[in-house]
Amino acid sequence: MIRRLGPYRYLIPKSFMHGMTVEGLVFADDVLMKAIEQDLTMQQIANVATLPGLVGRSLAMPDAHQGYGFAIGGVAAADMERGVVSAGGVGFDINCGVRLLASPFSAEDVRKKVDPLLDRLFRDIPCGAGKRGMVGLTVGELDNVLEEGAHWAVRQGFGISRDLGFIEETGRLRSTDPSKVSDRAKQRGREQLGTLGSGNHFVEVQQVAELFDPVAAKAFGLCPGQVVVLIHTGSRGLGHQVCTDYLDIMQEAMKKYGIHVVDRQLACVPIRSKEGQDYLGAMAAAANFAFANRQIITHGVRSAFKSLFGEGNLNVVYDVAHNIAKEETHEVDGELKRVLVHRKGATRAFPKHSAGLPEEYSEVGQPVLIPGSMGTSSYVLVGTEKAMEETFGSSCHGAGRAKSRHAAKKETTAEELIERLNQKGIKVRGASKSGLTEESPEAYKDVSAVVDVVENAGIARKVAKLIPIGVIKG
Amino acid sequence: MEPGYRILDHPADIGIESWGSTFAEALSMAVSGLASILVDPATVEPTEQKFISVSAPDSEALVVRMLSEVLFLFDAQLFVPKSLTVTSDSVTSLQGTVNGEPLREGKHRMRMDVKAVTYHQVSVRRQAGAGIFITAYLDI
Repeated sequence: MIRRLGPYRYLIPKSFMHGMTVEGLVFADDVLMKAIEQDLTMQQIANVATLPGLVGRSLAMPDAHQGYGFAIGGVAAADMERGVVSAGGVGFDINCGVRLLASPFSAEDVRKKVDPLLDRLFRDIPCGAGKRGMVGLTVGELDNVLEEGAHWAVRQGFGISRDLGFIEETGRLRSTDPSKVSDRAKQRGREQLGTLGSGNHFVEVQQVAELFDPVAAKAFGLCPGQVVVLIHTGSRGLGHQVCTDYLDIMQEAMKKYGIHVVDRQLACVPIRSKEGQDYLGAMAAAANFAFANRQIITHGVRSAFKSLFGEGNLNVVYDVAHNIAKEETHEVDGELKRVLVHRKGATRAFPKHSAGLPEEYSEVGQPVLIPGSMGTSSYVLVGTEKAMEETFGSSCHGAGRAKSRHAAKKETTAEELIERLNQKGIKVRGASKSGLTEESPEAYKDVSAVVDVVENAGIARKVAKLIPIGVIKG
Repeated sequence: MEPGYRILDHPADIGIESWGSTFAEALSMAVSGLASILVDPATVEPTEQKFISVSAPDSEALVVRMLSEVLFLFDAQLFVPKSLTVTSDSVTSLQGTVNGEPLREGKHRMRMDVKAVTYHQVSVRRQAGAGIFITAYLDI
């Protein structure tokens, strides 16, 4: 029933399941497809294809795996006028994303002081469960964060104005409406600004190991042997609560709009409805919280580097959101259309000359940041025209989990893992031992295989490979 | 049947299955399961109570909302949960107390940061002669 379209695409026809209004399309090679078929991923891609008002196809990136409602690695675009928005289609960690900083220091220099550097990062950046943030806020101030995102953080001295130009949407979604964020969500967020969280969130010190596209790498300020820092975190409890709140609001409102979904986690409402607009305002506010969070953590990283290596700017290369819904213009059936693109574990991947790119990148395209799993490589890619044609300008977001946390934990102890990584020249600081083993490299698919499919399918192009030196984890 | 819970494996995240002779008992066990995912229960003493009142359109949603409430107490108020005592309940509403204590660094051994309780495959099942079984999945 599932049709292979060449070496990197699998089509899920509408006949796969009753109620599909569009086809599904999975980007994968034979090996990744085998992994994808082992859980409910295909079913979830088909379930998404039943949502009202979708355009194009229900898409899955090569790192796709089973999620809740949407598969992780899913992309779906809804017609702005007749389509729906789904809180589950963005996910609990609204604007979970990745930021890359480029340092002027060489790997050789940084390796000499990697232990004190990690100790300092681990001390200054709160990580793990139940930790309070670097910044305490009053309710009034929190509204300013939700209104202004990274701009607020820079105004408070956590960074420089240059940083803002190198963040998706400059680190501030203008569609924000802090009044649509519940008091409960604000209570959860108030003391969590400037925290990493746990799970797969991390700050990793890396070196540029290999360049694939020297021209784009030069534009991004990357050169071999250089130390870079990758930050992976999101909107913390505030975003989680926004999603929790609106899942209930949407389930209730669906009755009124006569919408039925095959999985409660897919609860959705018309984009143009009051509930839809409220959610999008709250989601944008949570996204702004996440942009501010990564900005503040950037400040912590810079301070740590300064204390050990002296002066030298860590420039923001880029900052991308990989759990978000964005209103964008895309060509659908030969016509330009305004659509709401849900990216659930997928990264925007716009090509050169796209609006909103920093001038420095306009001739090469948008950096697409792909974190690997702990101890493996990460990648910098660049967006392509092909992504605009096929995936609403989207690409993968990481390695994608292959094993359950439990299975990963059974196979290795924290001590073994730390020793194994140490032998590979990678130092680790973790808030929780079980957290470390659950995130062991074996728990994930091979990020290089994921990125190769993305490149071979043409929905992004490889620019640089980054390898880890040290990592702090929640 | 002795009430209890076990932690379930999910490719991306984690789940709880709990059981008891009544819905209230099974739900209390689900709360204990969630608490054990957040913090090592051996390090938590139930010295304080937080009153809790939840209603929902159906029993599955009630499970999600109840567990979300416990998560909220932990994440927003740093109240470390250990167990739930139900004082009154119906299919769609529930009152009771969450028993636990305020978070103290050094005392409580933290385990995982749970992001949220999902509606993915949430279920409340009555098995003749065996009691009530609850399943819920968490986003980690």
